Amino acid sequence: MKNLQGTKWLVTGGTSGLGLAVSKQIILRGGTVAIVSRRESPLLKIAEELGAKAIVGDVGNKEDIYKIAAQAVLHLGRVDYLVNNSSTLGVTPLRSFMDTECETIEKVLQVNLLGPFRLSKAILPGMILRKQGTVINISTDASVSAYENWGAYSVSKAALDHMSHIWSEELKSHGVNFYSIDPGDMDTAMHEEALPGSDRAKLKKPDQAAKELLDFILSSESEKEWERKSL
Amino acid sequence: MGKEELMKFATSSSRRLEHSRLLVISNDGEISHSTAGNLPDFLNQGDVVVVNDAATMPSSLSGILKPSGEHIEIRLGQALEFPKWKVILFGKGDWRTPTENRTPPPVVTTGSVLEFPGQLTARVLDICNGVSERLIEVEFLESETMFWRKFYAAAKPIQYSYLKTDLELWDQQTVFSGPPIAIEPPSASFPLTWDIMFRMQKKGVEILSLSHGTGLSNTGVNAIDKILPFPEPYFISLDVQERILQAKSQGRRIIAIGTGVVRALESWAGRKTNGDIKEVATLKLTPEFKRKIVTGIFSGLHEPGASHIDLLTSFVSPGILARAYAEAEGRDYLWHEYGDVCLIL
Repeated sequence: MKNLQGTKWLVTGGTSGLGLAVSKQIILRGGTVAIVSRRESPLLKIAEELGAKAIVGDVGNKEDIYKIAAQAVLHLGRVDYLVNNSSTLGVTPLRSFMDTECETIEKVLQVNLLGPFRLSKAILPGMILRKQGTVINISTDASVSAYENWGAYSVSKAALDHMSHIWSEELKSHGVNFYSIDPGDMDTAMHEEALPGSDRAKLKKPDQAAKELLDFILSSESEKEWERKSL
Repeated sequence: MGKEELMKFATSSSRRLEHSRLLVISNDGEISHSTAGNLPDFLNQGDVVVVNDAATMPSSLSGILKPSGEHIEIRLGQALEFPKWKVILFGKGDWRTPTENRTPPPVVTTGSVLEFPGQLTARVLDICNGVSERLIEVEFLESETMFWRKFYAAAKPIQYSYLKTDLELWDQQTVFSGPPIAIEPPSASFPLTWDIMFRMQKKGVEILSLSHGTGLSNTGVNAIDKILPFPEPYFISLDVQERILQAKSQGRRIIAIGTGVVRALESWAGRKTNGDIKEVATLKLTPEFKRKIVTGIFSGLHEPGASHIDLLTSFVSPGILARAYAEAEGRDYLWHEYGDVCLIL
């Protein structure tokens, strides 16, 4: 297990599922993490339990972005790794594209695409000036495969993958790496919300996905400036 | 017609970025006109450009004086040892009224309590009567972590009465924004884009950064304005110090993006250190000041009489500067934070 001593991480959506598991792993490996969540009460409780920094904010809300970025630097000094993990399905039960409201896809794009765009834009300057940094965008197999009823979420994640790739092209000579990570189907509240009644025994535990994610990011496999990786 | 009546002021925070006009002044008196997007054309391989990576805080808090409930606004002036701040106190009213015309604040005394939204509370520790009863020292009654959370929930950006619309927090950030230590924006960087920066790099210009907490430029209170700028925090990493000293030893030009960068670099002045510098700049730059580090400056356009002008006349004679400004006025350059820029080399 690689040591993360001295590294500074900003993780969005870190109070449940993969975000929480990644935050735990970072701390276990010696890194420092600031967790972003709009849910203040669980955030403060979890941050205290983990020894993480807490930032209350909604990445889907434009007005919160510079407040999140500023507090991240105040708490951490700098951000070495940004994990854009916050996601929304829009509405559940999931609906066909034909029955998806425009307002739903707007909301999904705000959280899953524009949120990571804005937050990355606020965090990247420090990385470019230091010539060092990594942005990890959490993706899904639905970003490359078309599944019925997953329209809004799929479209947002496909765009997020491509955004990572474009950003990498533009910044590859400036020391910043971008990864789109598909963690696989996990045993999370979001998965249950999307596909109620799934056999949990067949689903990957978020802790396992978090270990795989960090192992990949820190391994020699990740020497490319951009990669879309399915765990 | 007075000088200021000839000037056109930027009234919108919309940035014209690379299209902003650039007044270029060489220290032998040659004046030319270009745009910010052409900045790389004026630089050479080996030049060093130093940017300020400070993010700007929302530095205005509106609340009430307890127990009277009278409306007050405070603007951050200077960070003292946490949780203490020197702040400027305003009475009822908002930014649409120029600060000099604002209602006087209610009387506060040592021990007065100020309450802001989200249960953010401060106690008055001192009233700087020697300067103005509106310059006060307060302490916030929160742990540091809790303070920043509540502060970012309650505070708003400082507004400028000459702008037509409210400034949002993102309007006050530059493309370099990182550590939130600036009280007002390091606005010289407003016209810059990463495309401009990357074109400079491709040309062999070295880009370095430091952090300088730009302070209040004006309070509307003469007695306080006379003592501005307040001491401002700055940070220069050891690596940047070494790179600048190396460039100086090779006779390369050091160009500061903004007056804050000049203040930070000349406060450090090339002293040998054993590590990163995290200090407070108290240096006041005057026309007579002999610079040790900075050879050129890229800066906004500010009104005659502002302390900013004193700083620029340490780069070029007052006569040349006056001639250049007169040309700029004749060509309808825009003044103030969201206006046009000048380059003195």
